[in-house]
Amino acid sequence: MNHLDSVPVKEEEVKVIVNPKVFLVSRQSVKEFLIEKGLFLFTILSSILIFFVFIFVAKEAWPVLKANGLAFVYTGGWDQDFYRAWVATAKEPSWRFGALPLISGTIFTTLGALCFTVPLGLGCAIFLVEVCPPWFFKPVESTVRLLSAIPSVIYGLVGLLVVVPWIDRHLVTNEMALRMAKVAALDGTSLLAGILVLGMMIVPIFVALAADALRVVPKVYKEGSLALGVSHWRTIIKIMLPGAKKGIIAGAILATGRAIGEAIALSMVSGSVANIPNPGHGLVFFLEPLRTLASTVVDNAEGMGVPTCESALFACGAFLLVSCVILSFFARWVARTQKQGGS
Amino acid sequence: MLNTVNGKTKLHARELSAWYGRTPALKKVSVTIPANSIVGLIGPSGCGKSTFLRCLNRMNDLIRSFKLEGKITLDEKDIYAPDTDIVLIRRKVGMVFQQPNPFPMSVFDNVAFGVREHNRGVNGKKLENIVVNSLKQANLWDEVKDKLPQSGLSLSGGQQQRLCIARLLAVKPEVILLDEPCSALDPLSTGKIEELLLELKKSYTIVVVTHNLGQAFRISDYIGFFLLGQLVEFGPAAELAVKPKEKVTADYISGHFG
Repeated sequence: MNHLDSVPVKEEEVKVIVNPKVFLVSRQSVKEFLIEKGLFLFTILSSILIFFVFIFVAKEAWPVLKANGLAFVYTGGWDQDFYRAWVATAKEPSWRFGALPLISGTIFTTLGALCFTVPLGLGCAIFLVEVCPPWFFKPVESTVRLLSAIPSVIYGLVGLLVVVPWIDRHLVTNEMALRMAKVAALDGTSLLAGILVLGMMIVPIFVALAADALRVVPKVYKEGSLALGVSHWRTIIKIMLPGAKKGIIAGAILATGRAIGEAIALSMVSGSVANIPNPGHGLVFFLEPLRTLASTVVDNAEGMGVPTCESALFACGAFLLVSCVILSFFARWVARTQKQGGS
Repeated sequence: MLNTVNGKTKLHARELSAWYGRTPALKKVSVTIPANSIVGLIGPSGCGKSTFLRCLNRMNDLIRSFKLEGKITLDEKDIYAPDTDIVLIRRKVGMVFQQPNPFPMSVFDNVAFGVREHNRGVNGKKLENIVVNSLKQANLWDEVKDKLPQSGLSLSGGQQQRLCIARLLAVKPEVILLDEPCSALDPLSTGKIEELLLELKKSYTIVVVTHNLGQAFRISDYIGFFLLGQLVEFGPAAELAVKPKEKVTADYISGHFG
């Protein structure tokens, strides 16, 4: 027996006090309030973090960018500059840096990889979405997924152990090596190796995005075309690919972003020399070594203790950041113009 | 089964059975579709009439789990024979879908698309003539003659559906299949399409699946009633309207279905 029973309480009061719903609702709403504000806080925090990354990189990069001005972009000699800055005394620091080889290296490898990835990836995506028999779909798709999950250093390793020796053995001739001896040593580490390895690295992400883009092309367009007696293949070319154009371009832009930022694998296979491959040399162009902006930050990291070198590396980082921002805006612009023109 | 048809037989199905995976969709359907007539297929949802329609131009080939037994002939040639060119079949047997599906391109290009694909040599004035004639034939020309460069998707639903018919007429099919072509349209647009079909009957064989019984009886020469994958009854529309042979047909037509 409960002694409360003996206390006379009005029925209404009891209801108010013990109504479980009242408790539940208020507790729930407090929880929701906290979660909402908490998420808001996290969002603000991460935006602020990104903002500070930009500020920090810009601040660190500023001394070198100020000292060199535009010459940072259009002059070469990075390796010599870096060495000079490294050995310079603290009293007479050397601020001169020319990043043209790094910028051109980044552009050459990225464009080359895109030229190789886009057709290959597009073919793969079309196969997956339109041609692949069902029993073969899962294995292929999981392989592609797996490829995108492989750490880049593994790609670099395979490139270094397989691609580079192959190029050295089969493509580089003694005559070539002699002719180019003054410019750079031809040992297989080259633009071509960089393009192949980088291309393989960005294929999976491009295939995944292009396949998604093809999948969301309304089925009725495909049916409409087939019902006109247009062959499957022509339907893919004239209806499916134009319909998926936006997603395919977005995929290429994302793949470009990944290619530009790739450091380790490229530093392993492309020679790590701040050389500007010269298209005037003919096909040897592809066999010349080079180094990209991102690889430079890794390769020259030992110079971080020297203020001039540190600033120069941050200047490379600033270029990477800016190009990523530009790519992101470009992707949005593509999406917008497509919407206006497409339908 | 109807076997005394005036004139020529265009399409003929014999003992047609079909499955999606293990689910049967059609059970031994046999039917003769005469040339230059409109055949209306009616029946409750899921009764197999759309499946049957899509067998006629092998549209079901797109569905991997689809299986078919029996025979369909077009002008006495088996369209499921191993050496058949599917593309050629679909060129002869065109299809208009439930949802108007113009391509995301200009009105002109929508109509020109199939023509260009079938004959790369056609261009300039000749192509223009085909496009204009097709649009006129589809009773759409007056409404879109100033909008040819505009996107086909900017037209109204009814105009889009007639655009789809126009683009089909441009490639000169022999049979036109329509899968509930008016279910997404208002009564006015529906009326325009019905008028159009009656005109097209002179030069084409038309098979139309519809949920609109009024429409089926207004435009069809023959009507087929499907139920649970079977063709319960097939006959001249006038006969079916007045005196159906089967009780289920009568129940369905009079709205006492259940």
